[in-house]
Amino acid sequence: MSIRCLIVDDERLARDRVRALAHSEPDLEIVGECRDGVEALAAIEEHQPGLLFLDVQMPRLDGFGVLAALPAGELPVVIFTTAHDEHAVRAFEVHALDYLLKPFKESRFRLAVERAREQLARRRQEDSAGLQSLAAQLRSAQAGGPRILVKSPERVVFLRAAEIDWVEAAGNYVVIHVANERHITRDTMSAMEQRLGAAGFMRVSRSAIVNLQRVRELQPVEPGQFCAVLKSGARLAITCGLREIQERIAEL
Amino acid sequence: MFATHPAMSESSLASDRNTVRRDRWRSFLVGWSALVVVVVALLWWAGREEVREQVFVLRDEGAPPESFWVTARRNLLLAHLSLSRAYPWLLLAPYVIWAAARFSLEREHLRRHLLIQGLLAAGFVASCQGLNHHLTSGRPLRLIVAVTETSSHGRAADGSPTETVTRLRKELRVNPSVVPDPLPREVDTRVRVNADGEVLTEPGTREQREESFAWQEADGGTGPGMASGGPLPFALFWRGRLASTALDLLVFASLCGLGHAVHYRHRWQEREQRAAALEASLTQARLHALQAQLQPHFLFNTLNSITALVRQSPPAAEEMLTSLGDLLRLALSQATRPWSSLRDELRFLQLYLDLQQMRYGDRLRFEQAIAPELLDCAVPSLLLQPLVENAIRHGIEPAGRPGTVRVLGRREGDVVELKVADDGVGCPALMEGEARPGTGLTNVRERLRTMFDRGASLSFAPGVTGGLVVCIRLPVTSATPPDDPTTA
Repeated sequence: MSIRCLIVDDERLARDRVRALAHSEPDLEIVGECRDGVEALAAIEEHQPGLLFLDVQMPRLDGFGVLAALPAGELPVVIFTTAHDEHAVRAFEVHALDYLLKPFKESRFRLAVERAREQLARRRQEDSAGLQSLAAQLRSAQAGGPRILVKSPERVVFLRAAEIDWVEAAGNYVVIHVANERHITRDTMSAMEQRLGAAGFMRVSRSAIVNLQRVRELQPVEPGQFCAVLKSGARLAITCGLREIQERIAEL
Repeated sequence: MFATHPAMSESSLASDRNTVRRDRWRSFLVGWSALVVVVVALLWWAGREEVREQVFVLRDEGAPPESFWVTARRNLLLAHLSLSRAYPWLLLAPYVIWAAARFSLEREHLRRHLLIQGLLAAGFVASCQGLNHHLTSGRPLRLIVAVTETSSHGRAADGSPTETVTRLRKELRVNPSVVPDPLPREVDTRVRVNADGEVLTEPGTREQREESFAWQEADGGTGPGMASGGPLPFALFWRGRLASTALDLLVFASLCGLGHAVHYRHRWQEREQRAAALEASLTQARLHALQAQLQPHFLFNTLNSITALVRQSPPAAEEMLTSLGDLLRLALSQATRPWSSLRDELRFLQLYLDLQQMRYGDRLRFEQAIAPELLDCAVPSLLLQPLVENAIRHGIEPAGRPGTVRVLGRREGDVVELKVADDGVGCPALMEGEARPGTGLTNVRERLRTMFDRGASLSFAPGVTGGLVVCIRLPVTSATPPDDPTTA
């Protein structure tokens, strides 16, 4: 299935970069290139793209202005591309899919496009199943669970809860383990617990919050003491009761 | 390219301290003036009394012990008499000190200040003399410091008993404006009283013998006596006046000296503060320059452009990459020096603009018009580039249409005038004196202030064809940048 995408950036060379990378993705079809927000709105209305590569700072109308002007129910998937990391929080709040910091690597670009594919595929499933109800829309919007914004000086990541294996405490920071990557962000364990608690996460000890769907088995280490072994192979010590965990896992 | 200057700098804190000090001094002088007015009014009123004769008994063998209050009043009056000379000095001292600091005798304005100080000295002496004169006005103040009374009995010619009472009064006659050292006079009064205590007024029986007043000079010699009540000899009067005038002038000169000392101390302190502030400001600028590589806007957008060029046109990418390297190298080297020549600044600017031009294409046009004789002038490092960056970022970039940035430089006598003008979107907030947020303008302003104090200025004005014109005026500095002891 081809994905129709629109490239919006006021600098020609920046558009060239995105175009070159998009060309190397077989299923991406570039329907247009725009120099500012006003052109973008016109192009979106004409071509109805499913994916937007959007710059933030542009003359006349900026990236956020474009999103604000689009009707709420028909937002395309948005990937921001910008040199500034200061818009990350706002981008997160408008439910952008990803935030690429210029200059970005090809691999980073591909990762973002992959997520876009998943997101669009999910949407199509919902559409084809005929579930137009509000509940279904909400479910699809929240597919993958709540999102976490991870911001460090050199990168910005929007993580979906479903991608997270477990969260580790580290002083004033938390380390979020995703597959074989570690993302460090300044936050407290209790805040993470609140955010992720309803999405199938459980705090198993003072320094670990686990995604229960990632738990492969619970192993006894000492009489009365257990540890959780994740699908990724990580072993975490558990200080809460065994029954509690078992109940929670059963609930899923 | 450079980050904002955070919070307050050393130099603005220092100038605040000076302002606070000046305000405190000013309010002190105002309060003191009120006090002076009150005191002078009181003294004036006190001096208008007709009779100022007060009786205090200092030492009397037979008299009853005096009360505490009498002693207190006498001591107070004695103290007042000895200090009365100094009242005008004390009252006028703060003004003299302030005037000495304000109109200090330095190389510039020497003649004018000397004239002012002379007038002030005359005024000071006149006030002192006038006040003292008014207080004493030639009328001696009589203080009776001792009374002894002896009586002897005798017989009158007709055989009735008489009592002769001898009252010995020691009088202190003070006329401070004339006589420097009051000494007690002895006044011998003999009266005849009858048994009932009535004074017998027989002609000739009342004697009043007054001894002549002799005062001793410092070397032990004696001067001429003073007749009671009569006018002083002319020469004596003026000799006394001259002496007191000389004393007043001496006091004035000392106060003046004190004022000058205060003034120079403040100046020295200010100089120290300014040097410290400059050092701090320069360190900030260096820090900002080093942080420049982490500033996203210019640098990362440029790098991003290079990544695009790598595939499209590797030679162009190479060009841009090496230009960026040159720019960074130049920026870092300039950041370690407080001064650069205008030529170097323009070279840096050209590199910067070449890179920007590659990004913006024909959205950005650049013009330069600098008077050739200015090229060797010394200007603060990294002065122009932040201004041009602002012009592009806030003036050209947000505009939908192409824009032009102009850099102009000309000389007006002793002043170098540099202008950075753009014809993009203007900035209404700037008109009210606020700086654009998130710019390096604050740092530029601070550095101009610490390097030139009030000799340099940064101002804004709307452009004729829209946009903004930033104007910097600096004093012309020689070709070789001045040796700054604060450079590393």
